[in-house]
Amino acid sequence: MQQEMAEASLDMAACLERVRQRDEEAACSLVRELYPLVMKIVRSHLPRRIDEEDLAQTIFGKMFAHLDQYSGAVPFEHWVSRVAVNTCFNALRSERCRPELRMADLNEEEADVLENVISTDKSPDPAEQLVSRDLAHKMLEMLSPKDRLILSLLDLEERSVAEVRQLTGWNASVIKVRAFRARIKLRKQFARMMKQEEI
Amino acid sequence: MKPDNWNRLAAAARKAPAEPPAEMPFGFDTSAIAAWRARGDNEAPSWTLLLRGALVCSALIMALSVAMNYRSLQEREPGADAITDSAIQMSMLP
Repeated sequence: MQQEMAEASLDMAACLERVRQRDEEAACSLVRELYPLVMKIVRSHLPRRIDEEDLAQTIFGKMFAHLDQYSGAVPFEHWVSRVAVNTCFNALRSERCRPELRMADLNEEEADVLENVISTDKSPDPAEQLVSRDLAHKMLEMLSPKDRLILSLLDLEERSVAEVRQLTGWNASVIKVRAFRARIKLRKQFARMMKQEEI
Repeated sequence: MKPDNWNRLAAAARKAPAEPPAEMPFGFDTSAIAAWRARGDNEAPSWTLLLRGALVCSALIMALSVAMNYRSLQEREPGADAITDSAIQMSMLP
């Protein structure tokens, strides 16, 4: 609790100044403070076959390496979020394979939940919500890294286009167009899956 | 209008309870700092800077000497090799 209190009152500007002077204690405090934020981003956009701790280490490495580029125009957490999102995007880009999802690939529970979610208006129970989240991520894995990142931020994290633009640095119209096309791709994929099930 | 399956699935996924905040594993901060320190120690060693400076200087000297001798390079007389080639060619003519 005491540690939480200490972290909550971390003076970011002073801490960053100390880190720039290569103060390792301040650097440790910074890592501890930002770890939950970085891990939240990593877990939302984690590519398959990449360990989340490794990716988090890479992000902190980049953060320290480019600390001189932080001008202070935005809160430091926003800057780190952008570094984290871009690192995840680069990791996603290095994944060459984007497997197509078929109904036969889903286990019984996933198939039932998918059926319930798309055919009824009743609110899913907590267990179904968790399965839905996994299914949504599986669907997104079929898209290109850019489309996947955009839809994940817009549709799953409910971020605005302006927020996505701030996090990724991409143009707002590019984000909108890509999101529109990606949703069409997903609708087609759903149609294909349903057709396969009928067969 | 046909129901949008992706929107329905995304809406259900958004309702899923948030994951508990990640707890930092023991030693994570130490290894992150160690990587940072290692990078700092290797950052721009003096010989790299010296080599870079020497490379820039030599490139400048090369460019300057080419610029200063450009006219003479353009106007120079044919070399001994060209004269020999031409003599051989003439001697071979019928």
